[in-house]
Amino acid sequence: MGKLGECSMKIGLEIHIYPRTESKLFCACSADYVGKKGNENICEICTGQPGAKPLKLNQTVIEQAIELSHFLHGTIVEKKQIKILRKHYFYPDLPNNFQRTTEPLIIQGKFRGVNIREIHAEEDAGDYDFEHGTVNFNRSGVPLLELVTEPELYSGPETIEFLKEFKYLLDYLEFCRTGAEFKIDVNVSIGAERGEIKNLNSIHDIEIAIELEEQRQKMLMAQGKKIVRKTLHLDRKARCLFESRDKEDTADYRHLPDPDIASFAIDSKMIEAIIQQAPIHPLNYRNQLIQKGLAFSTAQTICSKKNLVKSFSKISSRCDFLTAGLFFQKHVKHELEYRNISQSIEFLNEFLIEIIQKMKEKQIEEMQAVEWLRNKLDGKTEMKISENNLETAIKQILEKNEQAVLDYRNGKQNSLNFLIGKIKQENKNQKVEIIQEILLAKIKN
Amino acid sequence: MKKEELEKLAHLARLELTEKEFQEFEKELAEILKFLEPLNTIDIQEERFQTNEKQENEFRKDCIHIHLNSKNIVKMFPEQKNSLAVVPKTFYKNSSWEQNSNSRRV
Amino acid sequence: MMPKKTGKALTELRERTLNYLEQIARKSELQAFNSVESLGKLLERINELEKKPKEKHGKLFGLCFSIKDVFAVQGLPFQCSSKSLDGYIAPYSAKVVEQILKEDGIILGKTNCDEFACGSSGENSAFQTSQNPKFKGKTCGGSSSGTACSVSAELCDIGLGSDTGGSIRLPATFCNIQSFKPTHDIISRHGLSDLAMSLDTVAWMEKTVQYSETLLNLFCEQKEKLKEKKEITQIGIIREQMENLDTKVEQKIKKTIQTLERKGLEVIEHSMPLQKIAVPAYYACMYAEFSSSMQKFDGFKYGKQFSGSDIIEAVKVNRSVLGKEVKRRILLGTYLTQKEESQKFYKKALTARARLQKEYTQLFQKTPILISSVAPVPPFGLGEKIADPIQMYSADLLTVQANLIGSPAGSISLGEGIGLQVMGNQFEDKTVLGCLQKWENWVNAP
Repeated sequence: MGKLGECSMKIGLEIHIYPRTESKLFCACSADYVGKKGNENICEICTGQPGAKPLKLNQTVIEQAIELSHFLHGTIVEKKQIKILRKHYFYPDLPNNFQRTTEPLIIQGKFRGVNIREIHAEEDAGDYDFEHGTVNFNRSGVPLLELVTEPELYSGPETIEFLKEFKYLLDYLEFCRTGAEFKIDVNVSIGAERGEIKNLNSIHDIEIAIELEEQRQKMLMAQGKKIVRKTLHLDRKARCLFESRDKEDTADYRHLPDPDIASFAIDSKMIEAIIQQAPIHPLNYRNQLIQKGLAFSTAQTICSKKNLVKSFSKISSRCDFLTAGLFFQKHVKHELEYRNISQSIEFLNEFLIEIIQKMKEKQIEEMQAVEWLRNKLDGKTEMKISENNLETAIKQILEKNEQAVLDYRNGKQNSLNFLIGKIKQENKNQKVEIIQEILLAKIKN
Repeated sequence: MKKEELEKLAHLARLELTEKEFQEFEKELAEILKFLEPLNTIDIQEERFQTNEKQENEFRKDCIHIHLNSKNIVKMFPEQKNSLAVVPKTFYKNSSWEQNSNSRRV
Repeated sequence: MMPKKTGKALTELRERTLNYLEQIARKSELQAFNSVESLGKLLERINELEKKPKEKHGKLFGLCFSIKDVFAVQGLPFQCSSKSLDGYIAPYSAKVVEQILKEDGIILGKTNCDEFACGSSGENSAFQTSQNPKFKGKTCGGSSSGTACSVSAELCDIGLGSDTGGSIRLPATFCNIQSFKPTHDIISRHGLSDLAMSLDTVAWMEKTVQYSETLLNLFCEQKEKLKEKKEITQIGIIREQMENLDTKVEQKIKKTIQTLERKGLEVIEHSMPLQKIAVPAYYACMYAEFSSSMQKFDGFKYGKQFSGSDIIEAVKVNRSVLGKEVKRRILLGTYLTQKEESQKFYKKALTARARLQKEYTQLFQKTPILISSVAPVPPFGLGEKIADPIQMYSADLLTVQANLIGSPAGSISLGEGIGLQVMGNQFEDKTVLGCLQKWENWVNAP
């Protein structure tokens, strides 16, 4: 077996994200293509009919790119005239057999220490079902933002962490269309040349792909063979990589500036407007919260949503910090999600300060605060101390089942489940975890 | 123009040429390219010519316009099934992909 | 088959339209039309228009149009005179077509042209060759051959076509009628099949310059950019454009210059050595852009699909029905845009265009209107130039400039298939039209 040599793996990513827009990039068809009937969401422009011309570029896509740049500390290409290029190749899902893509809109960003080379916009292709030989153009023309990193990730796990954090940021910004995941091309190289694994849809697939490609390249090196650049795809079921020669590796895309669309500049007024409205940076804020004493999981939960961060940042200096943190983590997020509330909850700020302080001063029990929060969100403004709250219920059940409590204290785990069951019976809409927590706390006393 | 070069171009442009066409084009294309030679006297500069000035509003407001001609478009597909355009299949994922000349396990 | 004359009084609208339809059938050997609207649909249209009260008549009420087959007219075949679009019915209409219909114009049919507008004689049509109605045995000129034929043979009022390097002005001249090509991109090209996007312009032909101003105002999408009409006292000619003309052409142009001078215009001679770069710059741009325009024709979405074993084979077989000139241009364009070539010629051509624009702007400051012959030769015979592409390209010698710099240009027939080209600076369309209108009465035209 030959020398494995010093292989230092380098990984670079090309991440394709679906920004949230109403319409497609160059036509006014809906960008919400998921779940539509075949070839229903189309027009002459996005199906490449002879003579059809693109409309002007969708403004929201540029605004989204600017927002993303702000959070990735990128530089917006401001003064230069940005062109739209045609990238030519033949494929059934590409109605014009060229793809329109912009020159870089953003350059020199950074995320988790990895440099972002550039971000540009491009139109998506349709859906070619190669097994059945059919094409659906509903998705053709939907906008994509492509983000290219430098090959500065050095292992599979590091890459996964990077992507998880990136997804965390995108979810916080509510950046992507619901229902459309991102698509990622992974470039892996051990030696001089790289393997490009295309079109990976999940973090799990990326993990496997990196592993397989690393193995493949190491094997070639061990055998003394030369590593040649390859374009590969992952066969998830067979757990292997395969190359296909239909999409040529050494493709000449014959890039041509599109004469149908004027080149554009990104106006500083547009940039200012977006930056002014930009929410707080979740990763920076998360670090701040941790430094101030919150646990990672608490900070992580709070920083997962724009509206939580906005409110927390306003109220946390005016009430007990740790109590507020835990309350937000355990209850506020859940209650908002349950009611599908993603917009600002600033109207709750004063209310939250009040109930958090009351909790801290032990004037009310935690579950009472939760009930009041629920009432507030459901439009009921009463802040009565309710008699049938959970704490009281649990107290009562404990008083009636002293034997079970004793059994539990003596090591019988089943007794705990028995007690939980009893409590849940009478408080059906309470979460088991909450019940258990309060129960255990009371038993310990 | 050499034949290999022409073959490469024909493949890139997805044109299938007959032997006769190859011969004719070899000659004609070389002549036409000679015709373009006066352009060599020009130094490429970033001077951007404009056949029409840059417009004020460079972007389009993001809103939907429903088109009523999707059915007409589908009707024009040379072959269709359930409103999907029918095109040749590509074999990747069946058990015999190892035999398929278009894909190879690596 | 003509409808029987009923007791109903024939309106002028009905009579004119049906008369045109009859003429089209009678003169079918001219091969002007690829497809004609059905009688039923036309009668429907006539009925619809007749019901309109006079105050509601559109600006093009009752005018009969022939439309070059490179435009989409919903419901009519859209074939660009190519076998690759066999069976294709346009699923939408071009923007200008919608505007014509909105203003109560009538569309009679799609006219023949060179395949995908590739040609200067009309002989590259995959279907038929339009015959010059004025000069038997001669080509109509191209690429809007059928369009010119239809207007010249009085088969319609106005012919709508496209002009990329002279494709409106040349056939109009060869068929003894007038034409106008506006400033590039002030009129939407949505629905016009691309030849070269930075050169293609929606344009039209008429027997006399009657409706051009109406059409310009109707179609123009950037009216605020159009400059006001100027009165012209000085016009220019470029010395290099008077060289190497056919004798007859030279004589007629010189005679026309004298006529204009007698009418009080001062004719000033300029020199522009950069002229020699115009035709190479045109072809480099055109080929490169055309190779991109033609990518979409793969047989999967429209046209004929032959069964191919895989997605590469199938596309090749489907594209094999393209004509020779089309294939030639695609290959050249592919060559010029390859990464090895790093698009050297294309980029040089773009620089050349910028230079030409600068030089022409300087000339226009001295003389706001420039004139020349439309073509260096009178109409040539069918089959005469088709064998040699370079010979064919030479017909465009004097017309490509207007497309390269995006300027408005029109033509006035001087008779015998020879024409005077009138060109102005960008956005001076109204001034150019003004000259066409005035001068067509001054110059001799049989």
